[in-house]
Amino acid sequence: MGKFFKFFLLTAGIFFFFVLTTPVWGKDRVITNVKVIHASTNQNYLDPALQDIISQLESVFKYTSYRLVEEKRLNQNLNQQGQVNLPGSRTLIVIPLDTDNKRIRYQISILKNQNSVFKTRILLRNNSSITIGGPQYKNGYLLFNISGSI
Amino acid sequence: MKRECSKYTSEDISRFIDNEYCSNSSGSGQEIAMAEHIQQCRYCSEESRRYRTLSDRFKNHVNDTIFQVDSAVIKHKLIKVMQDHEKKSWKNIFQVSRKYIFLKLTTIVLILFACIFTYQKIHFLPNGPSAIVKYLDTDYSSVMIIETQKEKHTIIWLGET
Repeated sequence: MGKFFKFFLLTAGIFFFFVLTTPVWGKDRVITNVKVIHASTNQNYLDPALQDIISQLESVFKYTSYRLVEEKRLNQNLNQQGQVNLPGSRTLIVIPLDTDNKRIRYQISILKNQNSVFKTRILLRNNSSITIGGPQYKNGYLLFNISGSI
Repeated sequence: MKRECSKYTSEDISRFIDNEYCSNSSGSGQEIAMAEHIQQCRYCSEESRRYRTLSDRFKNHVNDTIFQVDSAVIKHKLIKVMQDHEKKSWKNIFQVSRKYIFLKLTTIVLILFACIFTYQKIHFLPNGPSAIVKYLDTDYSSVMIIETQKEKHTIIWLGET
């Protein structure tokens, strides 16, 4: 009984050690979540699915309507291309390049009619997001909220 | 030995000698009747005499033993017993401590890990912007990079012509 108890405690200790330290050491797989949002001033509507980022958007923009058009979750290896089709013949391409302890290096591109119109490289904080906006769509604008976690 | 008198059993006579019939209320009448019978009956008288002799010997032996005991020795023995008991108590406490030392150590290690993890989260995770823009190339006519004041959320705004 004593031996079993010691073994159990030792196993629990090792388990907690790995559980607590794994996010800091990093992984090869990256979860990327892309939210396509339509923002406009035509009506008053706040999509409940955008509750976690709406306060951030409202602190900068004066739009009265935020509607989630599409959401896509990508489970990617490093350097694996993830693609999200956007309204208006646009395509968003997201590639996680590498990770360090706290950030994920992403290459993000927007194509319009198969031509690159925007390309950036960012260091995204783990479990955080970036919003790229500006393309006009249906009397409003498109916003792309891209979050990543390792 | 075979009993010749059937009025009282050997046990009744033994209880009479030990004065057990005096203790209950209905016993006094029975005691008187037995005393009269024992005086008259040869067999019961003989048996009661044997029991009384035995009882007297036992009482004498007990008295002799009690008077032979030295009170100082008893006191010494009592002190020794108390000291032994005290030693055993401390021994038990130390044994319990040794038994759970592994549990204590593991608990301390887990608490340390939790503290390190919390400290790491508070002090080592960046407080800067959610995203740092390292490179940007676009066909859009204007680009703004905004960082929200409260949550340091990074926004890239592309201006179309």
